[in-house]
Amino acid sequence: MEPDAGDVDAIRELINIGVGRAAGMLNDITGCAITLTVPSIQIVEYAHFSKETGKEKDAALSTVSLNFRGPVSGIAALVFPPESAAHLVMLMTQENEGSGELDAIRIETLKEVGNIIINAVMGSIANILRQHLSYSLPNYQELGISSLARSLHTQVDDRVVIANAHFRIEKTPINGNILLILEMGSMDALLTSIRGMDH
Amino acid sequence: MPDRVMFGEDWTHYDMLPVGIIVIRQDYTILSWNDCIADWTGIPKRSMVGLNLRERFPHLDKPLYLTRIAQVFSGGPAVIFSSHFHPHFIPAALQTGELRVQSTTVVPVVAGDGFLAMIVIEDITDLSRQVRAFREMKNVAERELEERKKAEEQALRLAAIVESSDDAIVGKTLDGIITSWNPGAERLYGYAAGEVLGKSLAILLPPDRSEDLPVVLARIRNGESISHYQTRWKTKDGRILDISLTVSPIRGVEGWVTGASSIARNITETKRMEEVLQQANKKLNLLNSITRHDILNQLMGLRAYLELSKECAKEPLFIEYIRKEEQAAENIGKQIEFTRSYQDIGVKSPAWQNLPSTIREAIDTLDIKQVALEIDLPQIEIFADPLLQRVFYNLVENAVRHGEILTTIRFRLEDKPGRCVLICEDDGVGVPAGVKEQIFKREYFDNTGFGLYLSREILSMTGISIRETGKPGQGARFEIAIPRSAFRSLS
Repeated sequence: MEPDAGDVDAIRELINIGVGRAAGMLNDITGCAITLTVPSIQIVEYAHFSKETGKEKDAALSTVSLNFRGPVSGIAALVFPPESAAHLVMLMTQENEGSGELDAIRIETLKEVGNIIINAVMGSIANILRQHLSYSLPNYQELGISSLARSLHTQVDDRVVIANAHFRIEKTPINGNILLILEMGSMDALLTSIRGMDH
Repeated sequence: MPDRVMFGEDWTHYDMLPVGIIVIRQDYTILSWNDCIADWTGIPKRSMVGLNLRERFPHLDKPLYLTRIAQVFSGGPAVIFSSHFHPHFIPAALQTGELRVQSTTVVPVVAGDGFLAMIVIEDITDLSRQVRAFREMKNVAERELEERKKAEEQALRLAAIVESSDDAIVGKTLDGIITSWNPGAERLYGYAAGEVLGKSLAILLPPDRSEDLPVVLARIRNGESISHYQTRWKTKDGRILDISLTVSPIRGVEGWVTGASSIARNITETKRMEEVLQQANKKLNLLNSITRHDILNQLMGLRAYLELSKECAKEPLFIEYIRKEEQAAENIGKQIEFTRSYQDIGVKSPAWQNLPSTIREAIDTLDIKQVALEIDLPQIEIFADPLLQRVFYNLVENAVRHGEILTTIRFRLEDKPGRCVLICEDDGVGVPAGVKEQIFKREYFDNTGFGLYLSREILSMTGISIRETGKPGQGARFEIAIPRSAFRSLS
């Protein structure tokens, strides 16, 4: 099943509902003015995604990920270049001094931020599926996108939803990506649920 | 840590784990409170099982926690509470009284058709302490690195200045042993650095200046600096140079004087030019005196003949012409007198002069017993033309002559940014508003000579300015602005 423009729009809205809720929680937790939006998404085949990311796919990225399994299976991940991840954490924790490197405590903080965002997005998706998904524990890794996909035994025709996540923390913009790598057949199940909503 | 835990009645196997584990029902009733969390909190299992976690720890009864933990009860993903934002999920003190830093994960536990929540708490106090110490150490190292980098850049800049300076810049120990020698020193003294490093600076002293070095070094040992000390040093080829020397102590890290740096400027040519200039000035003054003398002699003759003419003249028109000729002769006389005063300005080099003493000496030559004089000044010196005393003489003499209702003249000092201002004020009739600037012009006064014009000229020789700022009817007020470089305190 090929996603049409309406499907893409619906998935973008689902993700935006999730990240909006996540931004509210992050505001409460950090006490910072945080906005989080996903202005655009792309849905591509993994083969295409792999080709597009090119050399970057093996560049180490700071990744908080979560595997999910059920009628829709795959990986949800929040991905940043490491320096952006450290900057994001330092803005949220209002650390003004020192260099932006990820140490164990900052990684733990980033895991919570990623956990809030991914859980909110997966909450939106699970709501529309009206079926239960089971999840792994959230995981933090510094690895390339190809390694992340390999851990899922990704097939070339698996689908990847790439959502550009725009953070704005106390007026400072930081960009990252929310990736949903869906295993074979999962996109069909998701689209069926979305189209079912229309009727 | 398991992704999802199956519910069972027996939670005792979690007592073995080195992490705090609490299992709660959806209504927050505590089902399990393992030994580790009991040990950390000092609250035994039997006191907690069956209680409501939100009631026992009310800080958890907030949407911030409830909303996220609710996801777990509906079978959603595990929830992480990081130590930065939630350092004390279940407050538990160490023996020192300090609260343990905790990293908390809440995972779903399948229980029949629903889910329980297992709260897994890790004590990361040590890790947190180490990371923070490491961060602090790293920040300090980064700051030090930055400072060192700046210091190195500064040192490179200074080295470049020293290298490119035309002045001879020489470093020495407190015993006078040369430790650095810049290209300027090579050019000035004729010695290459390799020839003099490690040798005594005494090689530069001509026999009549052999006492210079011990005197200078003794002052440096006391932490003093020496500015623009004029002396004579010897070059490699035996020439004697006039030099202006500035010597400053070099201090070590602990603040002790460890050596000295001197900056020497060759002023041989300047001295020679000064001497030439002084000779020229002397000749001009001589010429001026002779010419003035001759003109005054001729003027005396002219006045005598005019006097005779007056006796012979009967026609009123002739008498009027003679009166005008006498007036013209009078003016010529005044102008010649002015040249006598003006010729001395700038002839002698400016010098440091004690301000209160100079004012008193000026006033002592005046007969002004009827006027009170207040000199409210600290002991300072100003760098001015040797005719400075004449300025104060003029100010006081003018005040007495034109003040009419004058009773007091006061001198005081005001400290202003970049300069100090000497105020000379009186309580006479003051200067009319329209002439405050004209009084400094040569052609202004009919009878008083050229006092204020000369005063301004004398002061301007060393950058000192004068203006009148009093209120007409309330007294005259002269402000003499002295730049920082032209005054120094003696206290």
